[in-house]
Amino acid sequence: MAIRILSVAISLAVLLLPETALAKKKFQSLADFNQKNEGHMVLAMEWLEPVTFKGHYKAGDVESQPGNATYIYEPSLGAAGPALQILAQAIASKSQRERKYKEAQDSANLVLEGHDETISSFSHEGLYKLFKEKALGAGHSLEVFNPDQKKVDYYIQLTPEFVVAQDKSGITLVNNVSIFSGKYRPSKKKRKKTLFSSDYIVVSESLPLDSVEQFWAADNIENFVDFNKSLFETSVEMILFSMGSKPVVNDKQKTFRYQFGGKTRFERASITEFQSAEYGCSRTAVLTIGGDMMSLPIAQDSCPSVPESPAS
Amino acid sequence: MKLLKNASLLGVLAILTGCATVAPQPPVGFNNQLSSETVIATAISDVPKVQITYPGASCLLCWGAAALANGGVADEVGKLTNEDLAELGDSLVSKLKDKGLNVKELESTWKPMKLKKNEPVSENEARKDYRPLKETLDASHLLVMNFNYVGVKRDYSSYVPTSEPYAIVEGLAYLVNLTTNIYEWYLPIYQRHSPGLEWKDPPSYPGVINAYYQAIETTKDEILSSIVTEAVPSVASKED
Repeated sequence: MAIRILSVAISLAVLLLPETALAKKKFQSLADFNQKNEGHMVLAMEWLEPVTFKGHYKAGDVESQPGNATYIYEPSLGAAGPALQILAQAIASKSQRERKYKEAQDSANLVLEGHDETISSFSHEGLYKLFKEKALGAGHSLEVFNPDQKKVDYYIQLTPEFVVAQDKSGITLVNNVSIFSGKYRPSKKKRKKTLFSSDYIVVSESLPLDSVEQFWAADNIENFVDFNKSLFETSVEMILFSMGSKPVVNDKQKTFRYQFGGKTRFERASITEFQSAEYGCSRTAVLTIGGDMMSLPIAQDSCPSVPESPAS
Repeated sequence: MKLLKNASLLGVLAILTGCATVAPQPPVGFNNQLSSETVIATAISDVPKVQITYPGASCLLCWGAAALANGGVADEVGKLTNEDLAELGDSLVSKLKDKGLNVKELESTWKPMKLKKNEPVSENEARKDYRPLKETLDASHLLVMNFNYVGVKRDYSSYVPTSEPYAIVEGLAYLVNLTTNIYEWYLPIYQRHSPGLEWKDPPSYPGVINAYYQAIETTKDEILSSIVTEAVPSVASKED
């Protein structure tokens, strides 16, 4: 009885607390965040960790989005009540799914074996320098999160992951941007509620298969780094673009097709107004139905045709 | 005793007929060697409405529980249209015309008159006799495309989901020669696509919705890629 009264009292106390004491308001977009902070950013990255490279994997019957898998749970609680069946399933399926994904990822990561030297040459520091240069150029002020600092109002966490196709002919950068408040917590488990989170995804052009081995060779590190930096650069351009204004779509949704790892992949999305200066018309920037921005290696339909060179 | 005899006879019959199941028609590639004199009557049915179902949630209460548990996904699936797939019929007809074939488009509601059963004697021969349609339709071939299911399914065992929601397109496309009654294209359509790692991503469930459009696109690819766009040889050039 005493426990019940105590739990009711705690619940009431939580309900009556002012909202600000519980959590900061969520941001609808990076533009909202930017407006609130007047162009100032406190940036956190996993400085000490190597840049994450992962293998892209397929599971199940189709090659589609990373993580594509189904789980099968054979219930053995036929005689039990529905509530018990559902509860048992929820517990079993979650752990089963997590194990399945982990196994698939571990096996996909084998594609990176033998390329440690190439991958380890690519550091977060280089990415930070690039981000800083671009952000300052776009009129933002930037501060690096100091782990000794007790807390800040808001900080941006950039988590870039490079996902490598199984035939190594393509790389997709998934650059997650999340906003938190308070103390920096590198561990995801300890981190407070996310105030905003979105992925900025850049899919590379496919390398010709006969040049794949050369691309990943240890004596080609400079090109390897430049290639991946250019993916990161495009993602940063998209992030900064989103800080200026919420990505406006100027086309209705359609299904975009692009090549990755020798396979055609599909993304339902709308074209945005973003246009990377570097890639010009060879790429299309879209806003996915999940709200992420993606730069795809497909030519824009709306690009002006290349003027014919005058006859000599 | 007589009763026992009859019962055992019935049992033997049941076993025998049970074993004599008809093997399904295997897929047949599109006959890309059709001549320019070919007249294809096309019967392309309307695409069914996009839906979500829960196979295995067999009791009424189980179905209700499944519908309640998947309400968010069901709302999003309900907003989907089948227009991308509905355009496929037109693309298919254009492709046939591009090949130089004569196409007669039948109404989407067209159904063949009751066809007699046919005992196949040669490979890929239809089990229904389509030959009477040659005169009725004034065509040499009949092309049929229809979809039985377009949308999302989530498998259940009573109250318990046994799969994640997955996008699915099911149907059949075939071309039958109305003179020989032989299938010159037979393509069972079964495109199943699963969503990404985190399908539980309300309110828009992008993984599930993206999987749906992926199933639509791969269906279109599967059907259209069967037909080689190369123009058919004209009868005159054949004679040359």
